[in-house]
Amino acid sequence: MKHVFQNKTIWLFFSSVKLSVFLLLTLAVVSIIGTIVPQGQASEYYISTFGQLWGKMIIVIGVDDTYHSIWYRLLMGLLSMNIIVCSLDRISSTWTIIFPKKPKVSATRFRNKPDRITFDVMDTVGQIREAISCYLSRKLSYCELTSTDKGFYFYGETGRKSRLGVYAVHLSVLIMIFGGIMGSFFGFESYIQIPEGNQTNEVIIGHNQKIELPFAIRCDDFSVSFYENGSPSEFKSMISLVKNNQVIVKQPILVNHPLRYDGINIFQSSYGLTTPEYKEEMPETVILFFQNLKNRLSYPVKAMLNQRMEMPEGKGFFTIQNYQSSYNFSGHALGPTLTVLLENKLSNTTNEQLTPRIVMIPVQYENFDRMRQGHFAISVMNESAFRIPDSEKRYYTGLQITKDPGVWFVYAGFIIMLLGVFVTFVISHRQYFVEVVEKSPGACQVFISGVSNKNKLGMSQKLNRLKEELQKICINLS
Amino acid sequence: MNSSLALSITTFLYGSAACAYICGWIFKKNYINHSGTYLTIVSIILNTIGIIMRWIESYEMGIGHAPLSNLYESLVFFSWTIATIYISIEFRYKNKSIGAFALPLAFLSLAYASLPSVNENIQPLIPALKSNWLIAHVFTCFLGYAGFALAFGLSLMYIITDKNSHAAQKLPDPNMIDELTYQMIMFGFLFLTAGIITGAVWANSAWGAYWSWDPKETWSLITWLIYATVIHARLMRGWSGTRIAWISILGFFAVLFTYFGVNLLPGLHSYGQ
Repeated sequence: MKHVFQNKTIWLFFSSVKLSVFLLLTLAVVSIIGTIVPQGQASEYYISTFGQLWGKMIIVIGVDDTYHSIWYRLLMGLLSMNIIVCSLDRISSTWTIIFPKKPKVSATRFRNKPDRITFDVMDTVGQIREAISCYLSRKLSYCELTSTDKGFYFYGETGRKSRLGVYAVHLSVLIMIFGGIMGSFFGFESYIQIPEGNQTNEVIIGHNQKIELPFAIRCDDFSVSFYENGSPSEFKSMISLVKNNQVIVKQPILVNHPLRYDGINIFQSSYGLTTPEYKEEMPETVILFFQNLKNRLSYPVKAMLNQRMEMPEGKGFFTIQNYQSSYNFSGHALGPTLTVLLENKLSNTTNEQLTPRIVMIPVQYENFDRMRQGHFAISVMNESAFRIPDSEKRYYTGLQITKDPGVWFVYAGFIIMLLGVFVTFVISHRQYFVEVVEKSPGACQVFISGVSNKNKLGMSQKLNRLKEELQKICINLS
Repeated sequence: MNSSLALSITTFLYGSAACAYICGWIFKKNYINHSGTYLTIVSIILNTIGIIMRWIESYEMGIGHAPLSNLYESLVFFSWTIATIYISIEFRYKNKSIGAFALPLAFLSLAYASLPSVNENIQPLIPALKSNWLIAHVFTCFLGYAGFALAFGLSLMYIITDKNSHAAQKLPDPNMIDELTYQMIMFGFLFLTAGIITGAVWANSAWGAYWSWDPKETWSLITWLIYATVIHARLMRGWSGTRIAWISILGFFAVLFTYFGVNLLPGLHSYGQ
């Protein structure tokens, strides 16, 4: 691989850990921008929010879609190159360490370790040799016993292959990036709304690009259920996939339970009503609620359209003249509203003269008429009668339609990464060295030392424990 | 007794344990430290009971789910993970002074949970959270967060021992703190990785994409990148001591932002509020 890079400086550039650190931190900083600046808005939004100059800048450098911009991808590309070159560079030199024909033991290296542990035992070399090698060879994957002039040394190790873990992690990052790229080239993501009973086989991705699915999606039924406290508990769409006028799959989908067919995934995403909430026609009887604003006395009165009725307290007459299912009051949508003609009697009862006045009574807002500050505040009591009953309501279901052939690579990357990180952090390559030197017949000195490629603290604890164990074994011998 | 009361008492106990450890460190009295250990163990037991009771209470209400579904429950669990990991370090490395930096974090987390602005009610699960991945995702994420929280405490400790030799008298050897910080970062990194991955797999079955650049996702990636930097700088460039301590502190701020700050930004993780 090295010779592909004609220029050695390029290789050196990509194999430097300084570059890795720089790229990791730059990616971290750059990613922050995308969480602060809202993503994927129209260009007018940025100009109105950030001003002419900054708004234009945001669009030009692509901060409106940070994670898909050229320079974010460039950083990812550089990081991939960095990972590849670093790993190749290092694995070629560590390969012989990970897979040696026979581990090389440098006795002097262990003998000269300042933190080696020594203790004396009252046994012969032969006895100890048997006991120690028997004990250690059970615990370690590779063992070697070498005789010296005055005794012997035992070398053993475990977890040498855990040094491969880090390469697995790096490989997994590359596999995930590959999976991500595959997804963005050969996959799509789209959102559709299908009213109950309707079907469609077209989805729109990106900016008005139409894609035809190999089957049509039909929404047979949508239902939403609620908890007692009113928050939604479940959204459920009954979905049929139709091909050549035949239903090939019929399955309910819920949030967290998508339908996957032929590489295409269908998710429950949102819902809404295709029918309005309120009826077009006024219900036959309306119960109007008259509240006397002074003494708080209230009177419910039944009324029908265009029927002149008497007001409570003998205050005159009223007539519901009109009903609109949606009414606008100085720019505010008030929804269904009654037009009521009031004919008020003047306060002195002898005078029979009536003063007409038209008032608007919105069905949903019971306090609206208080603003008029008349004798009565009028509101509608049977608001539910204006609503379209649940049985006649028609919903649409909002579905997320995706296809991502890269997802299996990403999942494979996940598994490799988890295994790799686990092996790298938890398992270490530990080498143990135990030397026994005869001081006088029947008395020996034992040296214990060892190295680990990580977790030095744990290693010194392990060595101390090993010392205790060996001492126990030696005492049992004598 | 209900879970709410149990957890209120736990808050108080964590506070006392934190005080004991801090006093033990300042006045250099071992017996105060010992009381800290006992208080911590009692708090962890009560914290566990509180979590289990809350779980049972949710079933009694007919909306049974694991108590890992909103900010309050996550804070309670966060305290539990911090304290549990801390006590295992204490037993393993036989050092009590770390408690002066770890227990205050467990206490603060529970104290925050008991603020009136944090909704304490047991609520039914919204459809998006009804998944078996909920427990795996939240559990791994919070083990990761707790690892980073302890690394943060240890980093503070390192900086204090480095700057002030008087305060350092009763603190463990700086090399040990440094090594432990790194251990905690590795622990956190392992579980953050697992947390992000379980989250991605979950997202792929709930939202239709394993990665949507939602602010919480992005911030968890930012946190991951920062700690990846720490690991590379240490292993490959031999960074240690103060420099690692400072990046670890920076990393913990990223964790805090991933946890709390993201709620200020719009996104899909809004039920964490």
